[in-house]
This record gives sequence, structure tokens and C-alpha cells, in this order.
Amino acid sequence: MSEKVSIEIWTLLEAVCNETASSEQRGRLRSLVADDSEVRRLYFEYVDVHLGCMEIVAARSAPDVPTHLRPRRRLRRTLLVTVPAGVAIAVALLIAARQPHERAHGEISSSEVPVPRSQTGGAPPHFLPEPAPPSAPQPSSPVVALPEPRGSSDVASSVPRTENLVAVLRRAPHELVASLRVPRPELRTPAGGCAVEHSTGVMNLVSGAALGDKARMDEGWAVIEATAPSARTQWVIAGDMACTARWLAWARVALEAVASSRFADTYAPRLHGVRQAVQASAVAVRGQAGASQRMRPIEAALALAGTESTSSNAEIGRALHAQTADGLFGARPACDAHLHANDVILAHALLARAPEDSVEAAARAAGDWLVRFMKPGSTGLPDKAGPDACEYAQPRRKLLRWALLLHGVRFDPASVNRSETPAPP
Amino acid sequence: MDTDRPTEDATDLFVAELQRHRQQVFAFIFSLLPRRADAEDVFQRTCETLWRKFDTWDRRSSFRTWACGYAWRQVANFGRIAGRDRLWLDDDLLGRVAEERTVDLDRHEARLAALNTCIDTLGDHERRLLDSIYRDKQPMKDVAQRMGRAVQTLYNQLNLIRRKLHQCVRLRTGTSGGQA
Repeated sequence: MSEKVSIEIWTLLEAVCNETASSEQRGRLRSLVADDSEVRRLYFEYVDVHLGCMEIVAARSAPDVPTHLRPRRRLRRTLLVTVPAGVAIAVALLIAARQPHERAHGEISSSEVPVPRSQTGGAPPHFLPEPAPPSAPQPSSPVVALPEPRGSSDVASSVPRTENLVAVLRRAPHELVASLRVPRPELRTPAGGCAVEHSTGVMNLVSGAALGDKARMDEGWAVIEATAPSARTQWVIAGDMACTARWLAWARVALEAVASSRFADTYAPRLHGVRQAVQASAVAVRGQAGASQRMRPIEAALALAGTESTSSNAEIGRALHAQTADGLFGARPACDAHLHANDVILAHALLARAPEDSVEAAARAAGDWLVRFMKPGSTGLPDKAGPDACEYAQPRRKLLRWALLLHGVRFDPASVNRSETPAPP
Repeated sequence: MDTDRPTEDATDLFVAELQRHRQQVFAFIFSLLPRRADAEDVFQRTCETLWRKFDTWDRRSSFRTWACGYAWRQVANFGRIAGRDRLWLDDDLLGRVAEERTVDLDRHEARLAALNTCIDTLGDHERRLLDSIYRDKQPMKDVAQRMGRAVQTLYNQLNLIRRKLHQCVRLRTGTSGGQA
């Protein structure tokens, strides 16, 4: 290849990869490629650099960076799961925890919802705002039993033993749905986030099922169905795998809430339709769980755990292994603490679907890390100064509260109290 | 039995193989159709075809080669459907390039690994530009406007960065003997 051709070939390759090549340039490159194997080799190499940049740069900026593409000591810059999504999952998990018992006693309608009080005579729980005055009888038994604390007796006595989660839900959606009122039926929001995280879909279905509020459930259905990936199969393979995975995971949570509610028969056809969408999406999610640039292992595992596949267990195992191997549950820069709170919530979501030792250990480790790195006496976290400082931001506090609550309910009762500690001014 | 789709066991295998070779199949398609939107379109169609035809794959042979065969046909079909002007290679050359590229993909993974290291050697300004173009996928004119620079200036910088990375990749993969 002559020097003149060499200079020319670079210009042509650059124009092609920049998608600015004229028809004359394309024609010239065609003739060079046709005549010279060295040019073809250079072309393949250059294309791989161009595609590699797409892959690597995008992966490094995503929160689910594959280990081999992740730069060292670089902060992850984007929130994987927004606060509303985390809260939706947290609420769903709490509902899931109460469902077996509730089913045994029949569904509780909204008019029958009692005000939360400890069933053992202790103080009411502190992790949510003080409840409204009682307006209905209490249920005959607690819906969630907190585990015995493993710490000191002082800690044990200060922790609520039980919580009426229906009552929690009555207040939590009110607090949260206010910021989630705008349905976004498109898969991605204008800002690029996954719509399902910002929508009222999962939240309204889950809370509506628990509260017996059909109007709320109808609103949830409208959004869930509009965002179903099966409605536009283009999404499945063409690059929105992360949103598909999240939709899949949360749709499963919502489906289970509806299926176990008294509205299961009413919504049977819709349940069937969404189940089909879940199954259709699952194939693609499973195919790309490890390769997608924007899907983290734990999220993939969560999605996979929701599929009815004989191979899911093995895939969950692989996803968890990757999750652990890439240090996601290890210590990381403080400004990633809010992401870590998300991890705790996701880990509990996964645990609800795949109650295995490895998942439990990962969830416990994630929660322990969160507690260990919290500032004493506050819900803030140690943080660096500067424009990226993340401590005490209101959305993050809310997320931390839910993460601590979940950790407390399952593993460490003292965390329940930590979750309600106010942040310093 | 549903003849259109693989069995459950075959599905698992298909998923695993597609996952393993996904990047290479996309790189193969992009080489024949170097416009990202078109390449993604063809990639999706290829995946659907592979899924339907999976029972024709001889498991003793290379999945990648088999998949690239279907991808090649999809690229040719794309030219017929979307218009010949969307293809930059005629049928004869398309076949030749496809054949060579299938073999060349043996080096794809090594190049990607080398590139990952090479990107770490870039300066902050260079990485910011790459982020804007490749991560944020912003049109160049928007990036230029935001940075207060001329569009052509940024194109020139991007081209230099890619050349630099290409050279670095060649050095690291031991193919630095040619023009770079």
C-alpha cells in the first residue's frame, strides 16, 4: 500500500465510521477494499476499534459494567435504579412478606385496613410517619414477625416486633405516589431512564392489590400493559435490554401481587396477557443477560428468577457469581452509597424469588456494608465534598430508609431504628 | 412438537451460544453494513432467523460461522428490501469480504481486550470526547455546540483518537507491521 493510498484510506475509513461518507467516498473505498487484502485487514481493524469504543465507553459509563471492561477507581456515574423503582420493589417485598398470612385470613379491603400497632404491646414502628388515628379494628394477628435480634437486649427491646404492612402501605403510597403520578407508557423517559421505574404501574398494581383499591389497580394495569415489551418486540433485541429486564422483574412482582389478591379472577385475562409478555421477554433477557452493556448481574438474576425456566437456577448462580466477583457488594466509593442501597433492595427482591443461601449471604453482606458505613446517629453516609456530594439528599435518604428497613426486617433489627433516624440539618 | 422453535434444552444452548458470539456477529454485520442503525436492524433479524433455524445447526461446527452465514444472507436481503444504495458492496465483493471477515473475527476478542487497555491511556479531554460521542450518542453538531467548537474540529479530534487507539491495539496485539 502506497503512502498516498494509506492517507486516503484513513480519510475514507473515518468518513464511513462517522457516517459522513459521500457516495463517491464509499465508491472509492469499495474499489480499494476490492483490490487489496491489506486494505481489507485495515478496514476490519478500524471497524473493531470503532465498535469497541461503542461497547467499552458505553459499558464503563453504565452502572452494570462488565468486570473486564471496567476501569479502575472510576465512580459509576448513573443511577441504575431510581428511587421510585427502589421504593416500589421495597413495597412489593413487604407485601410479599405479608401475603401468605393474609391469604390465610382472607383479603383485607381498604375499609378494613387497620392502623398499625405493635401486636405485642410495644411502641408503634418508627420507620414511617406517625399513623393516623385508628378507624378500624386491628387484624387478628400480626402480618410480619420481625426476627429476634442477635444484638444486645437493649437493642431488642427498642425494636418493633411486628408491623401491619397494610397500614404501612396505606401511608407509603400516599407519600410516594405523589411523586410518581405521571404515567410514562413509553419504554424510556425523555431523560433516558427506564419508564417502568418512573411510572405508577408497578406501584399502583401492588399497592392497589394490597389495599383492595380497584381504581388504583386499573391505573396500574394501563401503564404496565403499555410498557410491556412484547407490544413492541423491537425493544427486546435492539438495545433496551436493561429496561426489558427491569420490566420483567417488576412485572413479575406486580403479577404475583394481583394473582394473590381478591381481584385475581377479575383480572384473569389481563394476568394471562402480561404473563405471556413476561415469558416472551424472558427468552431475550436470558440470551443477553451477560452481554448487555446496561444490565447488571443482580438485575439479570432478578429477571431470570422470575422466569419459569429449568435453566434459571444455573443462570442465577452465574449472575450472582459475577455480582460478587466484580465487587458490587464490596466497599466502594461513598458517593456510590445510594447505589449500594439499591443493591440492598434488589438483593432482597432476589431473595424473595430465589431463597438460596448464596443469595441470602449476598443480601446480608450488602446490608451490613450499608450499616457499617453510615455515619453514627444519622441516615447520612460518609461522603466526599464537592458537586458530586450525595449525602443527605432527600431521594437518597428515602432510598436508604427502605434499604435499612428491609435489612432490619430480615437480618438486623437495629437497622429498623437506624432507618428512622433523622438526618442532621 | 413446535417445529418453528427449538426445544427447551436447545433454547438454553442457543441462548448460551448467542450470548458468547453476539459481539462478533454484530461486528461481522457492521463490516458489511457500516451504518449503525442498519446494522442493528439486520442483527435483530439475524437473531430471529437463528432462533427459528437453530435445529439446523450442526453442533460439531462453529456457531459463529453458522450465524455469520445467516447474517450475510440477511445483509443481502436488507439490500433488496431497503434499496441497493444502502449497501456499499456489490454481491460479489460482499461475499469475499464476508468470508474474510468470518476468519478475521478470530482476532476480534483480542482487539477488544487491547482496546480496553488503550482507552485508559487517553487523556481526559480525549476521553470526554469519546464519552460524548459513544456513550451519550449525541449528534456531533450538538456536542460541538455544547463545547463551543466547530463540528469539523471535533471530527478531526475523534479521528485522531481512533487512529491512536488503532495503533495502540496493533502494538498490543502484535499486528503493528502494517500501516497504522
